[in-house]
Amino acid sequence: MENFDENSQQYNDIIKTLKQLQKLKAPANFEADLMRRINSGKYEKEKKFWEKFLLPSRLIPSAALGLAAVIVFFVLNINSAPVENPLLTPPRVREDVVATKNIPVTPKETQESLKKENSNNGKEKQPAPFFKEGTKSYAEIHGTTGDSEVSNLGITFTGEDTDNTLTGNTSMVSFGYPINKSGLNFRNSTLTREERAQIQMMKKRLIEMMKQLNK
Amino acid sequence: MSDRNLNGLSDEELILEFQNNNTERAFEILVQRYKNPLTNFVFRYLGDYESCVDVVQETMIKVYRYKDTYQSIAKFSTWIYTIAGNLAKTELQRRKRRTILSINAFGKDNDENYEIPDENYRPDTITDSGIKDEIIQKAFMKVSESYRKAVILRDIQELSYEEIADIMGITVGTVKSRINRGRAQLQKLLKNIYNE
Repeated sequence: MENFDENSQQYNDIIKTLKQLQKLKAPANFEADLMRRINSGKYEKEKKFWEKFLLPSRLIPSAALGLAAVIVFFVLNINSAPVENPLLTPPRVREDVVATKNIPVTPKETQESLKKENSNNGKEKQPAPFFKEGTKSYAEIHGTTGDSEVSNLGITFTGEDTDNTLTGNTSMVSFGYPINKSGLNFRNSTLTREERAQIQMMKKRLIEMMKQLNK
Repeated sequence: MSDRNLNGLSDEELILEFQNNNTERAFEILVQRYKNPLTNFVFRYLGDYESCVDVVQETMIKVYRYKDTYQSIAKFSTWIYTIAGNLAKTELQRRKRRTILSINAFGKDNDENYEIPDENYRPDTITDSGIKDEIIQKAFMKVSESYRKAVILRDIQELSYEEIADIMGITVGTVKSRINRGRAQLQKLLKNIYNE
């Protein structure tokens, strides 16, 4: 901390000089001028907030600034990427489910004959899994049930049977629920003739195999 | 209240009289008491007599209009010096802005180099006290604003450290420090005078 007493000694000259300075006086007409200004109300009245705010010198720049901000907002809004409406976007395609087209449905006559055959055999009813519509029915494949409820159910082939538990071949059967085709979320793919023929062969093999198993 | 009685009142009593009874004579007495000290203070701070008179008049008008804002807990002198100091500061800032603008305008129009007149004093021209005063005033104007204010209030107006602290809104320690720094700057600027 500075020692101010020492400093005062140090600055004695300057203090003395400042004290000796000529004392200025107000002009002779000071009071008259002052009272005139007070009485005439020459002094500016303090403006209220809204009066200050609504001055054109303040209102115009602020309005211009606001307008510029609105324009900038719209320009940015136009250039920005449209936001995807989750309610309007189509559902994602499931890669793991493939439906085959033009799979011939077994005629009803055949189904009925199979049912009779099965009933004649007197075998136990097995629980009927649900199949997808538009494919071969479980009854046809399984050959064990005469239940009419399963007649409209279908079968779907997906991928390969890696552990060969069913057939020892390359196809696997997966079962679905009785849902309308239009309401399903799967990819429709058009198969070539060769592919169709291959699938038909696989179906036949499967049916034969199932029959053998039932025997 | 008679004129004689009013003259015998202190500053604080006068402003209270003006507040409570709107006695204009009390205000006039206060003006008489403070017009010269304030003129001296503001002149030393601004360095210009005309502006100084305007500032002092503005100060008095503020006192007249805002008399009710004065609270008797503070000294009247502190209050009026604070008002004058603030107005003087505003005037100084306004002047600085004006100077910057005028220099810019000058440079733009003429597109030439221009010289700012050298206002440094020459010791050989010091002949009388009037000129010496002028030199001191010019040196004063070169001292930092806050230091200058403190030095004026202490060494010219002869106010106490506490009063200066109240006026400037700082602690007494800071006041003392500023006064000493101001004096040091002034002494440095005026060393030619003391060497003579």
